[in-house]
Amino acid sequence: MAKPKKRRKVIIFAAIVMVLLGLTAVVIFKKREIVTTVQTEKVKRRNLTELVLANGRIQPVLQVKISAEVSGEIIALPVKEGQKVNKGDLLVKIKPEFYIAATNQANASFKSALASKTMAEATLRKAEAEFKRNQDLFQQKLVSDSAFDEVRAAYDVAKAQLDGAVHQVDVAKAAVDSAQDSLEKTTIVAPLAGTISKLNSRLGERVLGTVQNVGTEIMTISDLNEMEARVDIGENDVVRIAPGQQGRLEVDAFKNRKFNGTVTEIANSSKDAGQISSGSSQEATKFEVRIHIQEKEAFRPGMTVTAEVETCYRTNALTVPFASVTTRPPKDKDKEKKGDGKMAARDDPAKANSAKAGTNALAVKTSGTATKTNAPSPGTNRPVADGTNVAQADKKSKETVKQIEVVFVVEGDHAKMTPVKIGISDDNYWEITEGLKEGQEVVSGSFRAITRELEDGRKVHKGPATGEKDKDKESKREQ
Amino acid sequence: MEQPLSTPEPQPEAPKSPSMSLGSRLLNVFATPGDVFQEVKNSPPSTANWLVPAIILLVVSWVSLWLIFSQDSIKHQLSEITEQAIQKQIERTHMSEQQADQARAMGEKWAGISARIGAAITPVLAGFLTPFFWGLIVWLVGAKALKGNFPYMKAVEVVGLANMIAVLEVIVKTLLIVGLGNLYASPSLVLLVNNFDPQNTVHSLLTVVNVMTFWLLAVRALGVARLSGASFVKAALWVFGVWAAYTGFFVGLGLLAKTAFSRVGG
Repeated sequence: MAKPKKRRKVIIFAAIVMVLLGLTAVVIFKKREIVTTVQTEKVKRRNLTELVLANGRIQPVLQVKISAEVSGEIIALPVKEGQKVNKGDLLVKIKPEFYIAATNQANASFKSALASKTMAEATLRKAEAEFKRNQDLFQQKLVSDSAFDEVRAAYDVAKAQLDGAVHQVDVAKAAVDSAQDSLEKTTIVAPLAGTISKLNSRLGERVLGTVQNVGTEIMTISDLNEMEARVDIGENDVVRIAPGQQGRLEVDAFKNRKFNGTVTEIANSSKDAGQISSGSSQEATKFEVRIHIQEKEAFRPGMTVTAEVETCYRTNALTVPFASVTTRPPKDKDKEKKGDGKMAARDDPAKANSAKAGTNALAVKTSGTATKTNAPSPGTNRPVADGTNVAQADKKSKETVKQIEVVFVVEGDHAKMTPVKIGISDDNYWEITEGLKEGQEVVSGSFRAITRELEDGRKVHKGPATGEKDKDKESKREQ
Repeated sequence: MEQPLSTPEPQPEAPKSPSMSLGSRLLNVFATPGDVFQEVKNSPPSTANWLVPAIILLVVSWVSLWLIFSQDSIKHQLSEITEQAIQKQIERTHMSEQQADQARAMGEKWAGISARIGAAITPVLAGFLTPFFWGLIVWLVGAKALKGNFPYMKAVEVVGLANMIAVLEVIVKTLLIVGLGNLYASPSLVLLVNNFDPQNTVHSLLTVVNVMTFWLLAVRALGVARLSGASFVKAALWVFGVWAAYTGFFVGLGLLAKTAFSRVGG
């Protein structure tokens, strides 16, 4: 009885030990490679349109802000917001009593000045006669020197007084004109035909004239027949915008509709140019771009608009998914990179960080909040030239490693790092001008794998894309 | 006079002092579990019978987890799993790029912390709760369903000693994971799957068909049979039935949760 049990024990323990030894041998001898799960896509030919996206507001092309030039209470306001007006129509009447009184006062002063002038003329005539009489007597030595000097001085004074009186008349005349002008400015008429797009003041309200600092903005008259989109575009993208480029506009108020537009004006100075000099601005520098809307619609000033400006177009371009393109140090520089890592960090911390993390600078689509573009920006793609002296950069390039644009091509179950040259891009794809052939399979995800993990020769496993099932559902729904 | 032959009335078996040492019991549970459990039944109660296996399981599990999580390939798999989960969350909630970056950073941070906490706590629960939970099942099956007569703590001792199989399972599983470089490897049908997908229901069900689990259940069933005096087949039907019921319950619960989440996610 004991023997079979003992034999059984030996067999079982021997089996356990053998299994454990076998597994341990596997652990020791098997080469363990890190396998990265990736999603892939084939290199295909597509038509690409490079777009610059920007947000802004709709405004009339012609818009006039009406402000009072004189201060006072509004006693007539015969227009309402949204009302159409013709050129010359009465818009506002400001209480004129004060200005009538001022005119009267100026008139009285003018008349007084005229009277003073007449008096001065009479005084001069008398002084002149006296002077001539004394001059004859003085030549005959009948009056003393001092008496003659006195008469001559009186004559000169009378002449000066007449000059002063003439000038006083001019001053008084100007005062009359000014008072008259102010009085006329109490009545404001429409300078153009249009629509009252904004009415800020009400009847009975007191308004300040532009004479005193900034006058009250009473209303805005706009020509709503011609509208434009005023959008803000970041400094990286604005250089690719040119007058005449076509744009597609989406106005939030008109859902599921797209309007056509043409770029008409690009600001020369950034919107926050003043703030930048003080160093207080942390937002991206934006430039205002005006896009004339071709369609007539019931747009209202201030409506939110999203514009897509077509800056470039390619047909039948070789393309890869947007996420596939990343940056890495070139293959032959790997050793150099490892050796110079510290130096790179010291010379250019941003670049060193990028190299360390393998940051996919190209995959970061948006730099600002309102403006969005897919094209590579010089600031992100070429860190060496960014904000540094070119000569210095060239000198340093011998010491540090310049990142290059690459994609990872899947060959068997390994990823091969392939340098590429990129062209334009749209929302989803990059144009590849050099480095790839049609039909090659490139890694398109995940973000983490492309930006951080993949390296040349890394073993990969093709897994389903995250959210692929959802995408399938969506595409089925669309069908 | 012939004295009448008197047959002594059967007395309840008095507890005998154990003939096997604790070490022998811990080892013999692999080869001759019936003998071990018979002795447990006949011996006075011993806390060491469940406490020592629990401590061994705890220590072996901690060492295994340390070994597993120190592997680069496993760390990489873990980070991939985290990344995928975060990515799904990002797509479900339509986060902005900035929010997504924050979510990724937070996810990576908390996934590491929660994995460490989980790795520290799970062996404690497995080592110290299982004997009492499965002890209760064994006691209910043996003492109530199969009309045996033994105290609850005897069942705990039996389950505790049977946990030595779980210790072996941990070792085998660890060697498989490290050897194959696959976090999901186990001595189950999952070894037949090339690319294991935890989201795949069939793949998840394959993990249940685990040879070590069946061994452990069979040993527990033998314990029930020895303690209750019932046949092994009867005990095994009960033990495997209970296991199938609660495994089925949890699998169903998981499927329900998955369906609910996918509906919420759109």
